[in-house]
Amino acid sequence: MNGAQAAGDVWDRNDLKLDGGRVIDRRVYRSKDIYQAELAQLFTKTWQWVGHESEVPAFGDYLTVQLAGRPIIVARGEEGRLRAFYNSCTHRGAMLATAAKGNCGGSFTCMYHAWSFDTAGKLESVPKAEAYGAELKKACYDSPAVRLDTFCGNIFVNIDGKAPPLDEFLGASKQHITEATEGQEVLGRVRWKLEGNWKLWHDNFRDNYHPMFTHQVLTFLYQGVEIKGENHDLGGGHSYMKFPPQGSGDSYAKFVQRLTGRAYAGAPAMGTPDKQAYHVIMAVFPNLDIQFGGGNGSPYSSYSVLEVVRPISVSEAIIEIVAFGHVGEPEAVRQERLESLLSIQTSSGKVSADDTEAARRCTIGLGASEAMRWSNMGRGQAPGMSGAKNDEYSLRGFYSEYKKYMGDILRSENN
Amino acid sequence: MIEVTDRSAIEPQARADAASEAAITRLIQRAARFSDEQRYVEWMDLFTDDCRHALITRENHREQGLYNYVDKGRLALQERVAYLLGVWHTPRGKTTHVVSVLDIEPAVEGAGARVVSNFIIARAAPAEDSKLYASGQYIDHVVCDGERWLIKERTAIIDSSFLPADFADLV
Ligand code: FES
Ligand SMILES: [Fe+2]
Repeated sequence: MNGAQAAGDVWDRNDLKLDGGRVIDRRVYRSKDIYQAELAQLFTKTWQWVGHESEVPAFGDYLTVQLAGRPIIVARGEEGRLRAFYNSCTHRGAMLATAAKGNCGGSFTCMYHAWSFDTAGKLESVPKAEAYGAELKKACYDSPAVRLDTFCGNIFVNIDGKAPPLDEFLGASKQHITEATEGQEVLGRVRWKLEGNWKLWHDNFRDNYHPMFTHQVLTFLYQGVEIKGENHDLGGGHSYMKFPPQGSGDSYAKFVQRLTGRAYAGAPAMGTPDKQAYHVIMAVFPNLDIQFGGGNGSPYSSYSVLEVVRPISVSEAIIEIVAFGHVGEPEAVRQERLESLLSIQTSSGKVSADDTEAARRCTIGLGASEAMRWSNMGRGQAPGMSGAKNDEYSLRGFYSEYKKYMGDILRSENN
Repeated sequence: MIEVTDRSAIEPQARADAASEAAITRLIQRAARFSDEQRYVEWMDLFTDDCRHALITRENHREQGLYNYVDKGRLALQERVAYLLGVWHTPRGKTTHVVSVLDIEPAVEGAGARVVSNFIIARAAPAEDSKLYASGQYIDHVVCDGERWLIKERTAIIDSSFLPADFADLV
C-alpha cells in the first residue's frame, strides 16, 4: 500500500478491488445473494472432504453429510468399495439415515413405507408392490450416485458430474495431505458453531499475522524473537504455512503468575521450543484446513487435525474438527493423544476459542457502513506466490480462485 | 475412565456416611458457585494437587475417548484459570450452574467417593439475554485430606452434538 496516499483513499481505489487481489469486498461476508451463489457455484462444484476410510472400514459402514443443504450418504459395499448417493428416499423423499455414522447392515430401509436400498443407493425392494402393477420400474428409483473419490484415505465427494477429477483439483496440496494423513486413522470429531460467515474461519486459517496478538497463551512465543516461517499460495486456492516453535517459557510463566496472583513453576503447556519441530497450517480450497506437525522425533510432535467449515446461513457455520492418530501407535501414546490433541482446538480450546471470538466481532463490525467496503489482505509485496510467515499470499490465493468460481456476481453493485 | 453405568464393583448397600455426603454435596455446589462468581482461583483450590479436570462430548465418551481437554494437576488448572482471567481483555459472560447431585458412592478404586451429578448451565453474554450454554453430567472422584473434601478427578460430559461458538468458560 502506498504510504503517501491520503487516509481513506484505499476504500475507494478500484484497482484494489477483489480483481486486484489485495483487498476484499466485504459484501462477500454479508450478501445473501453471494451466499446463495456460493452454495450453487462453490459448494456443489468443488471436491468436499466428508470423511476418512478408517471411519467406515467394514461392509455396511456409512457416514452422512449435508453439502449445500443436500443430504448425502457415503457407504461401504460388500466388495469393499465406497460409494456416495443422496440420502433421500426415491419414493417420497424421507432421509434414509439420520445418524452421523453407523452400520446399515447391508441395506437402508426407509422408515416411512419401508422401501429398501443397497449400499450403492440401488432400490432393492418395495413392500406390497403389486398395487403399482407394471407401472413401477424399479430401476428408475435408484438414489442417484454422487461422485466420490479418495486421496490418501481421505474421502471426497463432488456434486458436480463435470468437475475436474480430484487428483487435478487437489494439485499441489496433495503432497502435504499425504504428509498429514498417511498411516493415520480418525480418533473422533468435535463440532461447534461459528457466529460468522464461513469464510472468516477459513481466512483465519490462512492468516498467520493474528496469533501473536489474538492468542494470549501464545504471545509469549513471540516476545523479543525474530519471527520465522513461510507462507505459500500453492495455486488452485490451496495454501501452506510452515513455522517453527520459538521463544521461551519464561514470559509464559509470568503471564500465568500475573493473572492468577500465584507463583507458577510449570513448563509451558503450549509447546516447548525445539529446533527440529515445525508446525504446518494448510488450507485446501475452499473449506478444508489441516494442521500438522513433526520434526523432533517425539511421538507427540507428530500430530494431525483437520477442520471442515460448512455454512448454515450467510452468518453462521458449523466447524468440525477431526482428530487423527498413527495406526498401531503404542497404547500410552494413543491415550496421551486422545487427552491432549484438542487442548488448544475447538471452541473450548485456549487458542481456537479466541479465533471464534474474533470471527464474531468481525461479523458485527463488517456490517458497520457501506463506506467501509474493503478488507485488506495486502501483507507481502514481493511478486510471486511465497513470502514470510505473516504475509498473505495464502489469503490472496484463496480469493483469486474464489473469484473464478463465483464469476459475475462479484462484479454486481447490488448484492 | 470410570463408566457412568458400571456399578458392578460396588456393594449395593455401601454408602458414604451422612456427614460426608453433606460435605461432598457442599463441595460440588461450591465448585459451581465459584465458577459462576468468576472466583476462579478459589475454584482451583477445590482440587487436589494431582487432580485431573476433563471435558468430553457424550459422542466421544461413547466412542474412542477423544477429550476436548484434560488438565492434569494444579499447574494445568492454573493455566486454565489464567486463560479465563486474561483472555480477550473483556469481561466474560455470567454463567449460572444448576447442579443436582444424583449419587454418592464409595470410589471403586482408592479412597474417597464417586459422585455423579447432572448440570445445566445458562450464560448471559454481555448485552444479550441468557442462553443455554451446556447440559450434561459430572463424574467426580472426591477425596478427603483429613479436613476438607477435594475434587481429585472431574470429567464433564457434554450432551450436545455441537458446542456453542465460545465454549471457553468453565463447564
Ligand atoms: S418415503 Fe421412503 S418408502 Fe415412502
Ligand atoms: Fe488463531
